[in-house]
Amino acid sequence: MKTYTCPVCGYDNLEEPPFDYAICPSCGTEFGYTDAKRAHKTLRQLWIANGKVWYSRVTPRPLNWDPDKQLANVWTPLSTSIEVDYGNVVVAGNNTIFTTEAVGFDFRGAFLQVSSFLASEPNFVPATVQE
Amino acid sequence: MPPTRGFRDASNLREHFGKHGAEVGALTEAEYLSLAKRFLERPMEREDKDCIRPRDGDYIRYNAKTHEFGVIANDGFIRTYVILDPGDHAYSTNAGYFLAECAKT
Repeated sequence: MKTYTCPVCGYDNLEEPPFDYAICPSCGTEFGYTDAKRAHKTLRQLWIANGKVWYSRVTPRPLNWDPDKQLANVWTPLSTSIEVDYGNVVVAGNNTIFTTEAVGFDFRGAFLQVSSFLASEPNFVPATVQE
Repeated sequence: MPPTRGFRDASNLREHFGKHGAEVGALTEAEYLSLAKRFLERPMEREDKDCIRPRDGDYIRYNAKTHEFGVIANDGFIRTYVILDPGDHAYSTNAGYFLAECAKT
C-alpha cells in the first residue's frame, strides 16, 4: 500500500495524501483545517514545543516510534544550521539532527555550548543561525 | 442532499472520530458517523450555510449557530465533520474559515 509523509512531523506512514481533511495520527494535523492558515513549519514548531507527543487515541503508536528520527523526513538541512524555536535548539547538519535534549544542553545561552559540541564533531561545518 | 456514502474507509472514520468525536458528542464511531450523515443530509435549516467549493466540487455545509461543519467530496464520501474552533483553523471566526473554504479555486 502506498503511504505518504506528513509535511508537519515527518510521519511516513500516512494512508492518505496530506490534504482533503486527512489526519496525521502522529501530530494530529488535519490537512485543510489545522493548516488552513498556518504554515507547516509553524505547526511543526508547536508540535515540538508541546513535547512531540503521539496524537492519535485510535491509532496505536508504532513500536520503537522515534519522533526525532521521524522529523528528519521533513527537515532537510542545507548545511549545518541552528534553529531556535520555543526554547528548543535544534542543530541540523550533515544529514543528522541533534536536539538540545540529545546533546544534553539547556537552551538558554546554549549557542556556545552547541558550537563547541559541533566543533568536536568530525566534518564540522560552521553553523548559520536562524530565528 | 442525497445520501452520502459515509467515510471513505474504516481507518478514515476511526481517525476522524478520534479527533472530533468528543466535540460533537459522539461516544462511538457509529454515533459519529450517524451525526455526520444527519447534519450533511438533512434539509437546510435556518442557520445553515452551504456552498460547492470551486476547486474540487466538494459540498460544504456550516451551521452558524452550532458551528458544525462538514464536507462531502464530489464522489459522495464524507471528508470531515467537526465543530469549528478558531484555535484549530486560525481564522478569527468560524464563518471566516467557511467562507475561505468556499472561495478556494
